[in-house]
Amino acid sequence: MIYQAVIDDEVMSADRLDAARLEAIVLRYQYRLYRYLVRLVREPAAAEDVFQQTWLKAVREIRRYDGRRSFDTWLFAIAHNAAVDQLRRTAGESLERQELELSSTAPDALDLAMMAERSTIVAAGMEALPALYREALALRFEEGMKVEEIAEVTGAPLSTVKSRVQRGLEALRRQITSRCRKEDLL
Amino acid sequence: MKKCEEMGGLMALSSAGLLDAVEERELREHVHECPGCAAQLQSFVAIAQGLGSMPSPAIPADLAIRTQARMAEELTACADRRSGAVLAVAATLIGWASWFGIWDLYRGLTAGIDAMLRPGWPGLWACGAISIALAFLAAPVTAALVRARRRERSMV
Repeated sequence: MIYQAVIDDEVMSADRLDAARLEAIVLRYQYRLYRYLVRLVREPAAAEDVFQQTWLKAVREIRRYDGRRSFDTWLFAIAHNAAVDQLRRTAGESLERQELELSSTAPDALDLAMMAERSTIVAAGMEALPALYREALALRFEEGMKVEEIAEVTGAPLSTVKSRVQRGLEALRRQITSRCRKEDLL
Repeated sequence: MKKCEEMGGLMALSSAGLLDAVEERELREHVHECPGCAAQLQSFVAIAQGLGSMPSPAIPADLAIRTQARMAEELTACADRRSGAVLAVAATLIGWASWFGIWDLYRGLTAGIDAMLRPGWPGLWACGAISIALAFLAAPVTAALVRARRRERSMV
């Protein structure tokens, strides 16, 4: 909380943003923001572009930032919007469509493979998911955001966010299971 | 079987920590009695743990520096836009306000100080034309000044 307060203090005085303050803010958020954007837009070059757009938009909008709101969600909401625009420009991807139909019975027995290279397998599985789910899972599990915060970032209702997390996990589980079967890991 | 189907939807949410206490307890009780669902829940928990420890993408070393440079440019541009707008408004106001001043000055110079305090018409149109021309000139002159300053900055 103290860390957050320091960030907020810096941002609240952003009217007089100088290079040192900017540096501190960008440097503190660069890893989280870049990671989120890579998960969402997948292409590192596109993520770089959206990363810069996000900060430029933040500079332009800083006067509208309400200090009572969390800076994290404010910044990530800007990043979300920039990423949505990027995805719209990219052929074949968008955040609006693609709610996957889930089969009711997914196969089990995943544990052995998961024990070995769990996070690498999960990361590979994540890449195959639709952007909506990638985003919900990244914000929940990597950024540790609450459902309310994710809703604020994405502009979606709470129930939708919960549903995206649930469906994302189920789709990821199916994804990993089928991958493991193909590779004869099970 | 029906219970298993009902619980199926809760497992992913449980692994994400998004169930309320009642639902969580109900799920745990079921899983305790159902090995199939227990295995399924375990796989969701494993995925959730994997999601939390995925390798982070390597960030380009100079991305922050490049971003900061662009932010600095943007800040300068924002400041220019603000000061340009303020200058334009101020110059226009001064131009319009000068209408009254020039009119009084003209009368004082041509008809004496007393005439400055008395209303009258001689030269009104000439003064009006001059002051309106000044007012209309103020905005483009300000724009030219701001543009020149921007160009100077970009050259630096």
